[in-house]
Amino acid sequence: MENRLRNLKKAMDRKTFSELNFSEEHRKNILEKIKRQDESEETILLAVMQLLAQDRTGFELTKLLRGRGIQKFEENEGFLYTLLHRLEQTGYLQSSWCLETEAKYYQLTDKGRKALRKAEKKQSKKQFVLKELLEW
Amino acid sequence: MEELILEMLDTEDKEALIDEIMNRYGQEVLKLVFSYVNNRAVAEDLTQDIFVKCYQSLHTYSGKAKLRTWLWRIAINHCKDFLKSWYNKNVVITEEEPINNTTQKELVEQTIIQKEEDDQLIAAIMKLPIKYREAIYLYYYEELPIKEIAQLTEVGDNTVKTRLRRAKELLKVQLEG
Repeated sequence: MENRLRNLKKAMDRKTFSELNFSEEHRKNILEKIKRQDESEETILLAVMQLLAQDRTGFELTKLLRGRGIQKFEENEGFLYTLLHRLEQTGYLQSSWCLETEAKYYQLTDKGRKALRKAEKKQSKKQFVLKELLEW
Repeated sequence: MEELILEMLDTEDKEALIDEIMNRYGQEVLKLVFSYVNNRAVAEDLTQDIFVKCYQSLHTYSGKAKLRTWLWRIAINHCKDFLKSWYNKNVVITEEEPINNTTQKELVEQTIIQKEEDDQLIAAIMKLPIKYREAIYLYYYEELPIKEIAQLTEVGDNTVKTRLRRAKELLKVQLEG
């Protein structure tokens, strides 16, 4: 058995793997997928920050994002709150509890506004700033 | 390679990096994945997912393990998740046509016998339960040391040795009756 197994590499290369090829096409597909994902995450982040120029509840935010055609949070609102929490942790936004409406309101901080302005103004800078945000 | 990578991570040029990683490791990851799923189309799909995942996790790579080991662990875990998934258990994937590329020239008796034996061996390996199959594949095909196999499959060195021994017993029963 040992001897037969010693031959395994040759045997598998000849037979099992002979038609298996990690092609140029695969490589390109992967790069495209990666790009698409990065872009959509950036778009979402930008949209969330733009919408929070005014105080809003998470619920309002979901509705407004839907209005912008962003569907990532449909049936997955938890993801939005994770994102909001992350932004709060880095000091880009703050939240406050309103007793009257019994709801939590989120709004951009000065730091967040600055980051947003930077991101909106300079296309080249945008990627850098947002990438920083996305990378924890 | 490792130094190069750490350097590049600083420049944040992640796309160039993932491209380089694919150039270097694309083919071997595809083969590795195939050894788990035994189907070309599925192996190709999963391999693509694995590199996307690798890209997304690049920032978690600490440089402690070799990049290749790190990537392989992502790949192996992804394959195992797939094998456990609802999709795999409920969707039947049609068998691919057996690859037959024996040419006339090679029709020498001895070669035929050898090839048949090899084919039987490979078929028997592909039927082994995953934990035995991966041990055989990593040890005999990839020729990795026991220690590295243990790291990759997240078990102890002795477990790997036991699995190899047990796998060989199973293969013997299958092939030699």
